[in-house]
Amino acid sequence: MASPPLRADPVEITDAWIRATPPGVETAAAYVTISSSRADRLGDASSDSARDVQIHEVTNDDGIMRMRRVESVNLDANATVRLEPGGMHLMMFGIDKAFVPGDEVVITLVFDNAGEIEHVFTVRDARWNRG
Amino acid sequence: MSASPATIRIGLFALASVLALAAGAWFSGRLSVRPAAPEIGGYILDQPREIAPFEMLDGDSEPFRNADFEKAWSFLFFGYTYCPDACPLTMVVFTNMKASLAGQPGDFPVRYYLVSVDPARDLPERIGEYVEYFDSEFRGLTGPYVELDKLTAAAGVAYIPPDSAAGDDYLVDHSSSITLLDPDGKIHAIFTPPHDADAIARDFLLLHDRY
Repeated sequence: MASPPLRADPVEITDAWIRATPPGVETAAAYVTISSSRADRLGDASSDSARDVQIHEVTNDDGIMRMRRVESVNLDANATVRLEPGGMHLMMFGIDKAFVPGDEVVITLVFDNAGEIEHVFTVRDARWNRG
Repeated sequence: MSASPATIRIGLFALASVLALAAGAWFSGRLSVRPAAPEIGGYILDQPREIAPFEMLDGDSEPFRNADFEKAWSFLFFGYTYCPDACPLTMVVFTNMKASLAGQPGDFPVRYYLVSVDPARDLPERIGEYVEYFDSEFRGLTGPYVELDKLTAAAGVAYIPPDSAAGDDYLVDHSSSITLLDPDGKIHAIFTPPHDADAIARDFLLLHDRY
């Protein structure tokens, strides 16, 4: 496994959070905002806290809610990509325990150019947000 | 029940229902003999539609039948607990609708249901725990496909069950509409996305006053 680059990383990761999970549920959605000073591509993700992590997108086509795996997310230079509720998320399958607000969960994001970046995601209670 | 992966479980009856809905919407706009229906973010059925006799299970594994919808207004969302993004967002819409409607006068209580389109994984206890996490008064319903399909057919809801060869991590596409049942236990209106809790609450009060 490659270590994170030592020099200043061109990829900036902010607003990394996971929706707190109801009891008994085995999946979770993680959200994150990614900026990159150069073109890059998010191609994979993993976490010790989940059996599998995939990039998913939710769409609403003709009244049908579809959740689909997307293979990668392209990052244009100096652009920002947001994985946010109702759009894209990191779909965590087989989480090791319920995620309760305040928990911190490490997810490794794998970029073509920036390599592997470990980031701490904070679990938030999103039950009462009125947007 | 097995189904090919491409099978969309919207039966001919449901399809006919959707067409009838569209025709009804067109017709009521042209030949209205009753007080004009209010404009809502969705469809109002000209004639509320009965659900074929069904038996589901609630979150306490107790039988839940047609009559259990009576004497209350019921909002139904068809989803599943493995869905970590869109379904929690709709549960939050329910939470906000309930807050908007709190204290409103009414002869009947308003209830909120998540009906599972993933009965193989959503056992009663799981769906019960799931809905109660969002609100202790929300209710979950689950049951065999043959029973579920009576509700989805009446509500014009489509869902795509997993391929029988799917592993544990399958996804279920499903309609994102919110269905309103009246205190006769009949399908009364269907709200289409995007869902705005305050708008649905306002529309509901119009329907409630007209009932």
